[in-house]
Amino acid sequence: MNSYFLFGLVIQCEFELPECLSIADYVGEPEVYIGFGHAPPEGVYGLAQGPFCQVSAGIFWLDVPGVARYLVTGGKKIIIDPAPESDASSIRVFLLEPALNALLLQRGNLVLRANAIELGDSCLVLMGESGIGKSTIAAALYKQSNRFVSDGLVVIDHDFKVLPGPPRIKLWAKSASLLELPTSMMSRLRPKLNKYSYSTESFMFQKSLPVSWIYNLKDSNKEVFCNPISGVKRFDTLRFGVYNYNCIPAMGLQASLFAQMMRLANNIHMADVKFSRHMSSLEQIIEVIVDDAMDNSQ
Amino acid sequence: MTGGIYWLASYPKSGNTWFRIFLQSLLSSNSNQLDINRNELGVIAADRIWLDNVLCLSTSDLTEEEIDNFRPNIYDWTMCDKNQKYHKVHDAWSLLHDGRAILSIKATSGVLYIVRNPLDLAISYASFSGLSINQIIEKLSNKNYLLSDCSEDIGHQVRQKLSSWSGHVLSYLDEAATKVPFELIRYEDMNREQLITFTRATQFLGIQSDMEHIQRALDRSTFDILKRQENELGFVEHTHSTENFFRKGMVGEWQDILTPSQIARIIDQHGEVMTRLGYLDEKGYPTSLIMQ
Repeated sequence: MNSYFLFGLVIQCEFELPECLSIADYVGEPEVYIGFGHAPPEGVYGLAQGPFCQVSAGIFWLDVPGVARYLVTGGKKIIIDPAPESDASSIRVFLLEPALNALLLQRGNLVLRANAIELGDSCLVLMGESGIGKSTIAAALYKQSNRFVSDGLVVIDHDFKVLPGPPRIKLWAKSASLLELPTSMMSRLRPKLNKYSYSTESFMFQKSLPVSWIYNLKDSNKEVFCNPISGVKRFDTLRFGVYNYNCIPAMGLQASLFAQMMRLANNIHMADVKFSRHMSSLEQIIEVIVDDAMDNSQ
Repeated sequence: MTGGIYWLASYPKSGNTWFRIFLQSLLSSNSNQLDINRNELGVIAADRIWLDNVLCLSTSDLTEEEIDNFRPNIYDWTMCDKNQKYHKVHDAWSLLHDGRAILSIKATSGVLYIVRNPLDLAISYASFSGLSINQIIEKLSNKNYLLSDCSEDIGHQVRQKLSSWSGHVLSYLDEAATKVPFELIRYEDMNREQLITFTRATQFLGIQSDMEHIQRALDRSTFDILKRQENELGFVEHTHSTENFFRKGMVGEWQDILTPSQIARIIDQHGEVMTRLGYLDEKGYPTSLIMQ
């Protein structure tokens, strides 16, 4: 059995998770168990959230046809039922995001579809829709010697601290090329996907970091600029960033998550960063974000 | 109401966005206020956030083939919501390996296909995309033309297979029209016979409205108004390659802009379909429909 430290949890897994930080010779009781088993093809675990997902309080069932079915229960256990034609790396991709996201939500965390990077003594979170450049900017900041915290899922606990995720950034080939990172040194995320796993330095013993800034990246037809988000828009922005927000009501987590988001929104600096990917260089975008963060340090 | 989807289908730059804004204006409860950036109808069929939300995972972790295979399931899922939906789509009508239509016959209430003379379309698409007219003419004839090709990087839409302009038109005229309720409107008629054309379209979409309301919705969504709003507020569907999404919207601009060789190339490649649509006569000459 393999043991790992991930998002502040000790996880025991039947198979290897090479992206995660392993704990050698762990003898204690794990907080989470991941293994292979039976997850019925028809689901029947609760309210359907889509053609391939069913949810109820404490249960999350997800079917990724051709890859695996995932059954997540009680914030403690993930059972994986692989498809015959599946491969190990594909199984891990959907384990480490939607399945683990459900487990972390079941444990009462707030989970954003975002990236997190250390800046000073705090954590800077980058949100925005797929393809906007969150991972690219996070990787560029990491290359500038800022410590990397999490990519894909950003898990925020009740004390507004970001829990470190797997020490890797998922980068498309084009982003890797822009960052001058050779993909020959990286492993593909999935066999037929032109997306790579860029390993970062791991820091198992570092404490989780308080989140101080959230930047919401947006497409624009102008050069890069930064606008503080105020009022109710802060809450709306966070809600948009919650991973699989549409599953939250059926999970019975709406009230608690709402309260967490309200408290978080009142305690951090939030801003929209709008830029044209054609008109703004990566350096300009980073400069605007970092300058704004410095101007708004608590 | 069946709760299905009416697809507002077209090759890009054929008047689809104009029609969608008109429709929103017609259906909006707040009929006096038109906001071109507020889409109260449905998002485009290839919208990544829509697909992510229904699949409960990130499509950026799926291959393009996997996404294509899931798309009919995603559209079927919208049948759970009993409200009628109107979604723009630029994909050609196509079938997956297992024979299912990518736009799902089960989920489709009907297809309203908007077509535009490719001679004018080429100019509009060139301005929109920042490419030259010659490059666009190449694309119009490319049977493997893809929109939002995501093999190296991703954007806010998933990959869409467009085929050539002729292939796109025929996929709907010869395939979709035999499988689902279908209506075709021409961009040129949307300009010249506005009330008749838009009334026919709204009737096809099952919308109960009289000509007075339709005329009012048309008056609120004239090209000048759309252009003015874009200048004042910007437009979310603009690209980085052009200053304005709403440009001229006129019919017959090709007569002033295209070179004889460009006209010949387009007619050579698409003449058959253009004739079928009434853009060319039997001898291959442009009809009055596409003249200024």
